[in-house]
Amino acid sequence: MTAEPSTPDSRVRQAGYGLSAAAAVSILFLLAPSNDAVRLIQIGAVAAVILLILAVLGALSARTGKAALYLATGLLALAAAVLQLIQFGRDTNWIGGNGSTVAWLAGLGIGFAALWYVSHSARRSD
Amino acid sequence: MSTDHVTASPPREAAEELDQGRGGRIGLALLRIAIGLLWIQNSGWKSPPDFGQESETGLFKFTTYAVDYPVFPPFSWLIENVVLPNFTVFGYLTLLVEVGLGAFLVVGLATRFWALVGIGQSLAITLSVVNAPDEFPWTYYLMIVAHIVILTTAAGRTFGLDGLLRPRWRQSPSRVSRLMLRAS
Repeated sequence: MTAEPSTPDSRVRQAGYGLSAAAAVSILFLLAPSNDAVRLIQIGAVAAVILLILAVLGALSARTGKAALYLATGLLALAAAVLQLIQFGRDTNWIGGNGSTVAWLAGLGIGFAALWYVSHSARRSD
Repeated sequence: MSTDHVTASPPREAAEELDQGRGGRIGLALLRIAIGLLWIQNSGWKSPPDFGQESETGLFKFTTYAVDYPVFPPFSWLIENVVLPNFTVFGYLTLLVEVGLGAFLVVGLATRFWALVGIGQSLAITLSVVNAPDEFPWTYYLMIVAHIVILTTAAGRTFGLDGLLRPRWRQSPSRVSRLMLRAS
């Protein structure tokens, strides 16, 4: 049996699943003790829900290969990152995170947006 | 006296190829992601709006180390006369740079550019704190070296978005695509 060759589509799909898995695994930081050695990212209850939604949407995007779904997932993550950036360190902090939460959500948002770009440009050139 | 003899230089030994197998590529991706996580965690304690200025803690405390325990006098002068009087602006800039470093290095997008930014930021941190009490200088030297490795190996091309996007950018004649090819 020979391995299936890696196509641009399958690589985008793998990256989509990878980012979704990263979002899902990072929810575990909710349970991490609050010391610097373990808690790399500050995740509160609201952030955990957002990450769960991102993980599900991201996995759906990868499964269906729909460019618009990648874009929606990326925009949701980026919107959450901007909201967190505006609010953290202040009295009102809906997501309950800090700068590390901003960076993590921004990374996921950039990642999914990049996958939208690849899928979208591949469709246009077909 | 005859001068027509030609002295041929001895053949250079071909450089050994680096290991570009799966293990090597996974190792580079791990390094990039770990350094990305380092910056993500680091951006966690840069707290707006005053970044520790009033309580003399956090980013403010570490920035004043550059003046209290100088490493490079011109850098200390810059901190004392430019950065500290405009600390809120500097705090937000630091936060945004470190958020960018974390976000982009973790996913491996524009990795060479961000590795260059990481070298600059690590150098600034080194010049601020390396002479302060209880600091371990090699922490900062290793941070600089890790970014140099990420820069020189273009580590975003392995298990990163750069690897996925570079073929697209190569096909496009736009200026942004050419810029991204250089940055990745």
